[in-house]
Amino acid sequence: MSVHSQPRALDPKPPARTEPPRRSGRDQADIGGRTLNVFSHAFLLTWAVLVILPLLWTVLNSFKSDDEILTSAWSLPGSFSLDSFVRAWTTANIGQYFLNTAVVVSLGVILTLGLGSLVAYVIARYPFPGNRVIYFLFVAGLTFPVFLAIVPLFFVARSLQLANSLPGLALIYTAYYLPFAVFFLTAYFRTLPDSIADAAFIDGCGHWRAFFWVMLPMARPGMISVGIFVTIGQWNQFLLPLVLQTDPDKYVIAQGLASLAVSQEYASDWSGLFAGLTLSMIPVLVVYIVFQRQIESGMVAGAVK
Amino acid sequence: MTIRHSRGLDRRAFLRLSGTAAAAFTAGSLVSCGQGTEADTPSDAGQSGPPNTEPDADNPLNVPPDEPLETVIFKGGYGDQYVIDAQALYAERFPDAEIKHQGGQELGKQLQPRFISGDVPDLIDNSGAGNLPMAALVADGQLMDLTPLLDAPAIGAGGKTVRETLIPGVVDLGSFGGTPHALYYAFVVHGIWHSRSLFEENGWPEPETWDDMLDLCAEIKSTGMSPWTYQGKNPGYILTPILMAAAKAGGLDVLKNIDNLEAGAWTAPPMMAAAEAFYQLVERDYILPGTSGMTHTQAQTYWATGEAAFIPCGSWLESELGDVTPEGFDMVVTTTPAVTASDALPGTAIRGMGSEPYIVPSQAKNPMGGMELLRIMLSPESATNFTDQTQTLTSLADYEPTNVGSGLTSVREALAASGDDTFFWLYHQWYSELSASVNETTSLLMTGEINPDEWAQQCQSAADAVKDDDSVTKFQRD
Amino acid sequence: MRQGRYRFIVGALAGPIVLYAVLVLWPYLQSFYVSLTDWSGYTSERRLIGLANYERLLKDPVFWISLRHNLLAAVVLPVFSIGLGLFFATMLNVAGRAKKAAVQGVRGASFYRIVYFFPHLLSIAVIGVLWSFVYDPTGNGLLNGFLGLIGIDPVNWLGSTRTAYWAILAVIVWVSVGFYVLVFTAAIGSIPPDMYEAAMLDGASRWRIFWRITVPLIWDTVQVALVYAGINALDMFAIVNVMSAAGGSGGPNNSTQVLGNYIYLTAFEHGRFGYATALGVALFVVTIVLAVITLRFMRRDRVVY
Repeated sequence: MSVHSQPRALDPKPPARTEPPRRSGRDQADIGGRTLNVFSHAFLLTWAVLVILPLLWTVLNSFKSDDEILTSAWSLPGSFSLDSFVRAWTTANIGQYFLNTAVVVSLGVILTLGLGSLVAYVIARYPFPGNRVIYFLFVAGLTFPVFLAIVPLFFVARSLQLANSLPGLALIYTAYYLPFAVFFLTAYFRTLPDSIADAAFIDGCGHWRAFFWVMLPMARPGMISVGIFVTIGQWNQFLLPLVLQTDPDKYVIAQGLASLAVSQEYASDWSGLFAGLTLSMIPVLVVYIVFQRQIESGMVAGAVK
Repeated sequence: MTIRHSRGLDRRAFLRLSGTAAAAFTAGSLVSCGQGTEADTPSDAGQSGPPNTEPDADNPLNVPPDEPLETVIFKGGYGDQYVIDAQALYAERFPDAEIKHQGGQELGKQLQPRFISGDVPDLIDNSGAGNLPMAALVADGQLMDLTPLLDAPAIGAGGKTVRETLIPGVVDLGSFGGTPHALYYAFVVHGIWHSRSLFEENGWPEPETWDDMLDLCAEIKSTGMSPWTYQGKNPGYILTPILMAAAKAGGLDVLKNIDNLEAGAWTAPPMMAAAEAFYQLVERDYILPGTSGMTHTQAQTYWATGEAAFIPCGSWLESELGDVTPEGFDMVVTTTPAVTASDALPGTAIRGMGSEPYIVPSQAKNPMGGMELLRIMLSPESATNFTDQTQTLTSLADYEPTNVGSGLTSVREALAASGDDTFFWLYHQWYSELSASVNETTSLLMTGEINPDEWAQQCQSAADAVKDDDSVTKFQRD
Repeated sequence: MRQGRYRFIVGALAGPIVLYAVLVLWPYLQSFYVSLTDWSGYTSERRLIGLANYERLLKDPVFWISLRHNLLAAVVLPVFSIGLGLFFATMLNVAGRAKKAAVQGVRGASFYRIVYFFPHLLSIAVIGVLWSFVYDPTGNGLLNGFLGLIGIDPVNWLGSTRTAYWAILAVIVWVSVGFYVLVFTAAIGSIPPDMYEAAMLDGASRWRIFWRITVPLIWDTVQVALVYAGINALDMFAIVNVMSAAGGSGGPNNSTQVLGNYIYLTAFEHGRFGYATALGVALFVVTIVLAVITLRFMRRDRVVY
């Protein structure tokens, strides 16, 4: 991590760091704070329940039979049946499309973050003529419905040999997620203290070096959060692959799940639908929880360092 | 908008145009397609024009035997196995033809760039959510005239043409201004469904007239059951029996006037009578509470689980409900009860409708192959296979499915009883904006937010707006 | 120091901008041209018709209904999602009170951080199905079932023109709060902890710390979040498409119609790509104008530290 390249001399109040700051919240606080605490905790908990309840319900229903889902929406499943998962797995062809999606999304996210952070950094910290124009050019990308541009995009992609190719799709994802990444990363780069970048230059860092070794590591919380959003967005992306990946060998998981949702609409296979929903949630959920520790420490690094 | 469908487009002309299409898009320039002179030069292969008149029993459509065939089939409630099975028969006939098949959803978005670039499949089942807008394709001259197929001898029909073996009216359902551009492979009837076992148990009669219906509803309601529900979020479902009742009351002209965007078509007395009749369900609180907020699956499930007695639907209902339907439920379809004392059509007349519209793009490389596959699918063998797999009738009139449930039996009975009086309307596939508009207006009628008069006025002004809109290609029926 | 500055700017921006221009801007520009034609969307044929599509737009009642709904959302959504997001992010990151100077969230902060983000992991199709069960209009629905326990009659959430749009807005808040919690967590993570520590040592109240330190220091991110919420409020295509009828009618009777969905219906259901694109351009213009105004209006002097 970056702290080493951070010039100590410029740290405003280094002595405050001498004591490990993590302290248990059980330490006494003032009475007013306590009332506020009770109220706040109640509110936090309520929201958590609001979020968890429908999700839990989805997962539970995926184990139920169709009859149970319809007649007793609130009950626990009578027996845990995995039938619906098997059905969902085969209908949605999840196994085969999983790998494709993983390839496209990992490549797409790396490229989006790499290119997006470069652009954002330059826009945030290098005033130059045309800076705002470039910024708004990227912001503009957030404001037009993609499906209106899909036909011209198809022809551009085809002539550049990007259609029906996993790296090609990753490149297209990158281009379409750049506006989002640039928009948020610019704000994060603006939030960073000027003092440190200045110090890096005084130390004789070149621009590239300052970016890679000083600024990028400092922007880690922002990079992680944007990275998460981009990953999820690209994982769930449906329209672009639908039009650009016509070769079934190159399908991504969203295309498989669409076919599951459609088959439910015509066959009232409720449990299969819930199983599919659960299956589609699980990969992202697992990745998020597995990396949660890293995400957490990266995001709040500044605060607990 | 140029109307080109009447002009029998030459395939090569399209191929030539399509070559420039991609370039045109990337260059951002405008393609003017007005130069039709070259398009009329005869093509050398002779495969694209009307079929040879010489009878060739094995290959009446003159399919080039080694030309590849590509199909894109909507994979929804019926799956796509029945097409794959028919392709096996095609492959027996033309072993040298390579067959490419794709089943999928959201076909409109998938195929849109292909239509523009001219690289289209030879046969498409244009069905399901997100399908291609057919009227727009017809207006753009993108669909083949299917007359060669209809005039070709049908398989296993003793010399009859394909047209002669189809259920009467099917060809008209897929016609735009008199030209058949789509052929509905599946045939459904629309009506009002109930559970026969439930009705017998309670001694409830099938209502013949709307007064019977209202009496019965009062009785049903007294048992604590809701008499009616419908697929609230898709109000087109409840508009169907209203239009059916109007057609039965006033005769076929009611529907023709609507389709032809005639002035006063929606405010005509039979329409008002039908709207009044259904409005009574609202007035008397006979509709399952919450119905207007239900998806089609929700409403149908509530109906099948005994929350409501009647629901309007097409004959796909039985297969759509699948295992949700309780054992011994015995669902049956009937046409709408008479809403006037002197209905113009017989009591048994019912609405027929196609589903699974098959189209052959004008730019297809092997359009005759596409039609040939459709001809194979319309053989008794393939039709039986389809019905056995899907519990749905095909558009073929005479064949004996081997696996028939209670719903399908009642569909066949209703269709037989209706016979030549089976009626249909076309405005919804000609004018999608009108259809969307009247559907939404109907949702207001059925929640009591507007009364039948307001409903008729609003529908009529939506129809008038389409009529006055020069950018909409108009079609006529007679 | 200055040497190589422009070389760096050009070097950093060239790659991303070329990619973005070719794959995004160029297709968008071509679409803009389509708005001047009568193109159906399914043929190589299109006729230039000047501004006719824009004239039509001005006279189209559904356009104005949709725009009104979008603007309502652009006011309501940022207030709720960002207000809640900012509140939760503060609670989870800096509100924990300790006697010794330290910055941390309330107890259970990391649990809440994971849970709050769940809704954002779901694909829009999943959210649509899930909430159609929550909003089931009979007493069996999750929400109506709950209301029934406290004696409230079932509400026809999505079936009534009075409640449908608000019901959909509530779903968007449900989904997006977690997004903004993460966004603000990352921004707070970039604030040097010394700032908080100093303020706490001075005995500043939490309220004061929030307004005097947190908000000014993450102002760039707040601003970007507000604009982003506004941009999303002006689109709302996906959520309306899955929550209103199958095929996304925007019903009942256009009571949930928004521009994004109306554009979609116009293009794909009605085969009017030319007109749909004119609507898209109008949406684009409205969004960009509002974004620029917001960014200008809210510009504060950056806190330099």
